[in-house]
Amino acid sequence: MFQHYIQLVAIKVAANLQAEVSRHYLSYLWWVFEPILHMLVFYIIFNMLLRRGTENFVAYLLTGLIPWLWFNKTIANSMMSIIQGRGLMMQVHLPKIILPTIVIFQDFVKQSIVMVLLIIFLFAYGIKPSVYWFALPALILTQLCLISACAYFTASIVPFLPDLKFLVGAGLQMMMFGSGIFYSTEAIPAKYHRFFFMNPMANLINNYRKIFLYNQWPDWHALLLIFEISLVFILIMSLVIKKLDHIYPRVVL
Amino acid sequence: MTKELLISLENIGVSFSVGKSIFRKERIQAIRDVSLELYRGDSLGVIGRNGAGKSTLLQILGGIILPDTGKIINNKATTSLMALQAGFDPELSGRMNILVGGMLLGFRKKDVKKNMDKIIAFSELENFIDSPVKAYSTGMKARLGFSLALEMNPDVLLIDEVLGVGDVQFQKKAVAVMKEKFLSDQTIVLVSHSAATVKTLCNRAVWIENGITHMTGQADEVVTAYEAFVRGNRKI
Repeated sequence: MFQHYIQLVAIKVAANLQAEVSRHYLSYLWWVFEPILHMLVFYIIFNMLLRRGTENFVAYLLTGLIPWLWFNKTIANSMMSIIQGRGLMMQVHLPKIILPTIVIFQDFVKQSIVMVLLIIFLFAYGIKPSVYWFALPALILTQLCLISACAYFTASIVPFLPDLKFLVGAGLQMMMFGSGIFYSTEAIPAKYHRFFFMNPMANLINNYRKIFLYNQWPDWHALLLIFEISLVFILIMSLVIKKLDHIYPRVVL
Repeated sequence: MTKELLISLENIGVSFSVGKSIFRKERIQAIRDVSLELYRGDSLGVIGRNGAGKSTLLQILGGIILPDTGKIINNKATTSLMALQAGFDPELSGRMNILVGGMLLGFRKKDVKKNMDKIIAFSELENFIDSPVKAYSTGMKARLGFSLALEMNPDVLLIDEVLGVGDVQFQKKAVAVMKEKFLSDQTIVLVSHSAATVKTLCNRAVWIENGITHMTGQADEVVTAYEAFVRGNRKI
């Protein structure tokens, strides 16, 4: 049964991606253009207007922005997944956790492509590849777990309190500003560093930069901690969603 | 010979809370007290007026929602609701929707693929099967849903008034295969407000009034009583 649902998720992810591509004129290119557009905005404001840019500012921005956009988009997309599965869940009984899972993997596939392009870009930008780049899979896996935990959490709650989606939007905005995407973490007074890195995304982004830009190994302790806490959360949330399987069809009416 | 009991409902009650905000919640009692027994090979008609709780009953039988009160005993019967078009993803092609829909109904990937051509042929949608379902007309969607549902043989088939599918020609075909299904060993629960449909297709019937089982028995007896009741109501 479990295998059946994995197959179902895989087929649905592939089909959704295909549909998404055929829907837009520029299809796959949007996955790349989007982070570039975001980057341009930040580049113009912080480097050209405010003159706050750091060294290698484009590379600095991209290494922060691309992981952040992955997180941001998956949460925003999965938030409504159970509500949008309304038509389906009225017809058949299905484990509702499938719905956010499809979104998570759909965005993961897109992110993988963007990640590859980021590496190509960094290379072309003149940043020398180093042995530290091999830590990337560990970073991606940790982030995938973190994203899944957050996505399951929001997806499971929003059907009960639809108003929460406004709060989630504001929360994501706040988190973006608190993740050090477009400013250097050195700008933050040292005594606040502990609090700053309690934000898992700030922590992850800092680690992405460590391996890509600063020729350092990531902070393994922090990664492991994020990984473990996320895993526990995923487990709890999947149990909660399973418990609520028969409740959702009544709630999302 | 005693028939095999598949599903039995005992004094089922379901209420929905319809809240516009967290400060104002209302409870609507969709089903108060419904009991019925479903045996293998039965074709059970459920009749009642609008809002009697018929569709909610199907959702309970389909295992989609659980009742608030009462007991439901399911002797490992697989059920599926025949009206899948609402679950179709408008962005995906007809072919993809058949695959995903079939798998959602619990069928293995290879089984759905094996039946794919049969399903497409029955739906007469060969020319459109690879375009996204959002480009389909309502009738085409209904045909796709009907054809998919037809190819599955769950223990219990739940039908929510689907005989009005597609154009006249397709309808004739649909009614013919449905009649065949009803005559076969397939266990069926048909929900309808058309008493005539229930009378011709079903052998047993349940009449639900205001969420309460009003009468259970042979289809023609129940339908006759129901029709008399409806006519009586109209006079007043």
